[in-house]
Amino acid sequence: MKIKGFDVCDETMHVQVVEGEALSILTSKTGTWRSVRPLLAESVAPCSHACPGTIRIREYLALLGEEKIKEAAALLVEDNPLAAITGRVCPCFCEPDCNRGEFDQPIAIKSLERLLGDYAIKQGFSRSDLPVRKERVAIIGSGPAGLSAAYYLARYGYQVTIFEALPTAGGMLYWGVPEYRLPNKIVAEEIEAIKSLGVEIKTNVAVGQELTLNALLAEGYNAVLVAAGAWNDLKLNILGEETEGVIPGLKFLKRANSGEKVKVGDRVFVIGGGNTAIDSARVASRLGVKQVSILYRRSRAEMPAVAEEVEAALNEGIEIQFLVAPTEILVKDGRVNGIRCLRMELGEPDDSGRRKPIPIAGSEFNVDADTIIAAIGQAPDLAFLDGSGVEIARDGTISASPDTLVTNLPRVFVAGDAQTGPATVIQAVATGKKAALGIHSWLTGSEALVSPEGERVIKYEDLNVNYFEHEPRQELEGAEMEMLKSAAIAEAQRCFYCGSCNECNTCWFLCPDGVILSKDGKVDFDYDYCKGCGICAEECPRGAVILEEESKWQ
Amino acid sequence: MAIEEKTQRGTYELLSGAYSAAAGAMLSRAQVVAAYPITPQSTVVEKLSEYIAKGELAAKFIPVESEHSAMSVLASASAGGARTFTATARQGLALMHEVLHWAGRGRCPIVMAVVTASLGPPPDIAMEQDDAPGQRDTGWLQFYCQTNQEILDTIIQAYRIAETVSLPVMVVFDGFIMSHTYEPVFVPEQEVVDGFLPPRQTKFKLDPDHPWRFFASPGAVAGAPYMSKLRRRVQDAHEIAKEVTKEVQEEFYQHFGRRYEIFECYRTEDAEVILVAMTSVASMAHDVIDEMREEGKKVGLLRVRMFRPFPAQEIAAVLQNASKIAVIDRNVSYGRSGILALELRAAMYAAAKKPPIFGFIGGVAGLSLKMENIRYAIEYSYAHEEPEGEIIWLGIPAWEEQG
Amino acid sequence: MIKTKTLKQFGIEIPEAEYAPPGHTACGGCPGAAMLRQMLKFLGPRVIMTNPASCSGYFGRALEVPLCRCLFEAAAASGTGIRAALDVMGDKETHVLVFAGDGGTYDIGIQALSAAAERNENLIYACYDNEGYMMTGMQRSSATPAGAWSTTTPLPQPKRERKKDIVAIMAAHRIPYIATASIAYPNDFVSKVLKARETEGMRFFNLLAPCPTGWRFESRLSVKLARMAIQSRLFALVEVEDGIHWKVKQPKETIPVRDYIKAQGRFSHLKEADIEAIEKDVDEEWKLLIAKASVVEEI
Repeated sequence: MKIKGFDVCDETMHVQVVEGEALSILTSKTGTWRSVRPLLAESVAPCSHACPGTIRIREYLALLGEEKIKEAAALLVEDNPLAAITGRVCPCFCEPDCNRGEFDQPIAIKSLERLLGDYAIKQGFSRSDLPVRKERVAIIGSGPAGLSAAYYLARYGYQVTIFEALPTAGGMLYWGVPEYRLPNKIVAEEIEAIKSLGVEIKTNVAVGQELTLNALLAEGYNAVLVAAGAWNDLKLNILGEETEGVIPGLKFLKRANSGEKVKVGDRVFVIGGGNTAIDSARVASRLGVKQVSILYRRSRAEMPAVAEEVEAALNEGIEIQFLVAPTEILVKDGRVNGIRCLRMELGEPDDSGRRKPIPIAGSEFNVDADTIIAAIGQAPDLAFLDGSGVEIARDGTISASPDTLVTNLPRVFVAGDAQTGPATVIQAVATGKKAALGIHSWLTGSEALVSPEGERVIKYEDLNVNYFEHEPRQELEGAEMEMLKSAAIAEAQRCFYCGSCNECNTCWFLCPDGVILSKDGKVDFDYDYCKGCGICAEECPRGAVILEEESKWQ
Repeated sequence: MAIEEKTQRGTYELLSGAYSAAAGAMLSRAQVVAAYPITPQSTVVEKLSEYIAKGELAAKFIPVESEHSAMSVLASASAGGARTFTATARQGLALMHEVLHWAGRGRCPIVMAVVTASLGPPPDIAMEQDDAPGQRDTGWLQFYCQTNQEILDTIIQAYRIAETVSLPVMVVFDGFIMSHTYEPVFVPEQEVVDGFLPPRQTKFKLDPDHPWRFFASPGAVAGAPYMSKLRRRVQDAHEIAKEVTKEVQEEFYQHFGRRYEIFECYRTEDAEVILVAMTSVASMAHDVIDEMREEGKKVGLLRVRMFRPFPAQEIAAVLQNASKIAVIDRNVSYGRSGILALELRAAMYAAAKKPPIFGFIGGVAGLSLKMENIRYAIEYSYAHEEPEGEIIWLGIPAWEEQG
Repeated sequence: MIKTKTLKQFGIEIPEAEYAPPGHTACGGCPGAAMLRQMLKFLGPRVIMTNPASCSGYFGRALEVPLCRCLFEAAAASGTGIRAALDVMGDKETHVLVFAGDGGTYDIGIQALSAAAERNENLIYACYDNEGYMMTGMQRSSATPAGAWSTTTPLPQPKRERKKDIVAIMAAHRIPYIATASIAYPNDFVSKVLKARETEGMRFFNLLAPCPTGWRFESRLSVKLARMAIQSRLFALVEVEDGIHWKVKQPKETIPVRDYIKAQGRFSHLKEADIEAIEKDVDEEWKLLIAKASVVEEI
């Protein structure tokens, strides 16, 4: 007996003889039931969102978790070539936002970055498969911004030459950050790795004297990137600032980092609350100074320095006096003798968003001092650009397009502290990358990449943490990847992989209708049959599935 | 082999009706037996479980907890391709009712021995015959047996018929009068039975290699139009079953030397009054017919053997030649009349000649139906032009009367 | 070699083969359908399923395994018949899966179920328990918990009687293996299906199936409710071997019973006193359960 093209119910028995495709005749296209539909919504993980370099953290952690260390390191340095450095000195924007932190402990991203960064340098950056272009790019400054830009430009195939005024390359990495925070050996290895891509670094060449920006352009460099950093110490603007015994912070660090045993007295005061101030205090301490103190005009909460550094300084016996500002340097016999101080209280927030210090009248007091290190801020030193025509903004930084970092001169780009003002290494890496992309798109005439607006960033509430087990955070300091491999892998496996489908197959398992398909390593939905029950969206451990009104799709 | 030789291949045994049924099921090589005890059927099942326990019958015996489950087990076992058997009676048959429909419309070739007795209340095991006829709408074939030999033989035939037309078959006989009385029964050799009844072959069964759906709805797509055709097909199968039964009966004769008809006529050719009856009533009536013929009365007997499908046309062709028809029912279809009487009246409506039908009801609730009752029924029919009503109560006075 | 997908959050392998394809007409979000789909993956391809009147009639529309429909009371009897046919034809390998609702298990089908258990029939009986006659319009069954609204226990008289303890009933039959399961605990569920698969004799599952339609909650929360039921201890994850060895999985993180109750519309009429009574009852029942257990594991 046939009906509608298939054998149904044999005449000898009540049996429906339907099989294979014909079974579909007994089903309905239940997709018509839907009022909401599930969608794969690849979203941004909060760690990546917080990172100024937008490093693809979850992706490299996923590879590491699968024991693909080489691939993980390769992916990391694709986004951050200075991973070995940021893994040591970054203020670490990512970990406080890590969703795992609300579940048990955040992933030790910074430590993993260090391990993978060191590993990557040991592996070396490969020159093979790189294209070769004839265009030449000059970079002024071999600090993190310049090095980052050089890395990306070299990978695009350009001929890159970095001009460095100081005897050794590295910029703030070598000359600013102290050895105990960032060993010079690491900086040197990083630079060697970048040089191995074909990048040329000319040290002891100061642009602005014999060699000007315009000269570089005339010489045949297709583009010039200014990555000169922010090397000018800001002045205290108080009486006695020019007295012997008052040393600007960056100059102090530069001299100390050059190997000079800088002469400081017994009673050192550092003015300021940023990294330069803390670094100066800790370096002074290591020079054998008996008592080092820091004066900061706001409270601890407003200190811009890396929190761990402040903690370390205090542990080393460095005294920090909060809510104190210097009003006058006291001089005796032509040398620093003390500081006249004024106590402060906090008022309303100022432009920086931090609460403004307000002097407390009548609260003056004096301290004895024989050395004062003034580390209250930095600004770019752009004297070398006089006569170049490059537009400089009121705050002393170089103005640039936010998308490509091109200046008012079409062949001149800027990256790093010279553009942002004093900032972090990762920001320098990020702007170096953006400038490199900007240069590349300009030289090839293609569209510049613009970051998409309004992306969904995963919050803890978007996850379904019932699918995770509590695991302790691994201890990953004090050794390299070789020794810490299993701990590193275990730590990476703690990553939730927020906001991205990794085909964990949870939704595929739970779906009552079996409409979850596989496409390119992620899930897809059979909308012919999906009833829109929403279980997949509710249960996705990493918040990668959302529900949308079906009417939007009609 | 000549028929005479075949009839020698076996032995005579003194068997009760129940044991005859058990022997029939064993010889038919039933594979799955699920049954629940109920008087007067229990000895059928006891005997079968003995056969199985001793290894004489290679079957799976399932001592279920109710008749409803017994039939449910068999319906699914049947879908699974097995040859199945059970026996029941009275309340047990009534309890199975829902599943009888399932097996009938589901076209499961199950064979069941039904030992008729009364439906309660009270829960008495009295002689009556309302249980089996009461299930005539369920799609099952029904054969009503007269002798213990016939019980054994009909069960074997039943499997042939059932598995050919894919319909379940009831083999019905009287409780106590037949189930518990012994007659000499010729039990044929297994080999002879195997020659007549091969193992069940079915095109479709539950099989992991094929996702077929048994007893299922065709769903929204095909739905009612399709299911209606299926219902009609069941009726078609019943009509085919009648012809198949005749062929099977003929073939049975060739193998075993015993002949059966779907209904049997005894001295009806020139009869003025034909008595229509089933089972032991019919076998008693034989003697009454002979007695009355001695007295010069032209009487005859029509024994209905195949009750479903009801061979209306053929029976009408015989009965229309009589002047009067008397029918004895040991059952009541309350609100109407005796069930056999109902069937006959419907059958005769299409006949060219329509003799009056005297519908007698007697021998219910354990009241014995004796030969004098049968004689009375025939004489009454002779004496009256027309029946007074649809029911003439045989030996059962009205409530107000004494006795 | 069977092709599998890894359920990465649990590190377990799930067969890829689908025997319950989409297009069936169960309500969206039905955990019963989800659990049938999973059971067939592990029992197939050599499995025959039988099911009585129940919602399973909706999600058993087009299966890639043979299906034998049966009458409401007869689920266990039907399974028995299929097993008998397979056995007499020499097939000891093919699994028989009876898939019935709580109505067909706790109520109308309990007689046949008890008999099959007493005979230790070699089949897997899976009851998907949505705590009511949901297919026919949400009438109460003996599996409906005390206090619940249903269409036959409407307000002001919600169900008074407590939910029947089907696990204890089945344990009294001393069958080889009994288990309860929840889709929210995939590891536990799968391990129990695997254990049942390797056991001979009668195996009984009570699968919790929170019903969006009958319990009154949004369909996307089915799995969440299946989790909350366990965490509140109102439904216990247990295994019973041979009717006497009880193993209980104790939730590591518990939630108040009221959280689970308040998530369901069928309890929305309950007053504080009613909820407290339920909470007290859950505590007492849990104590009794733990006292029976020879093994208690955390989950």
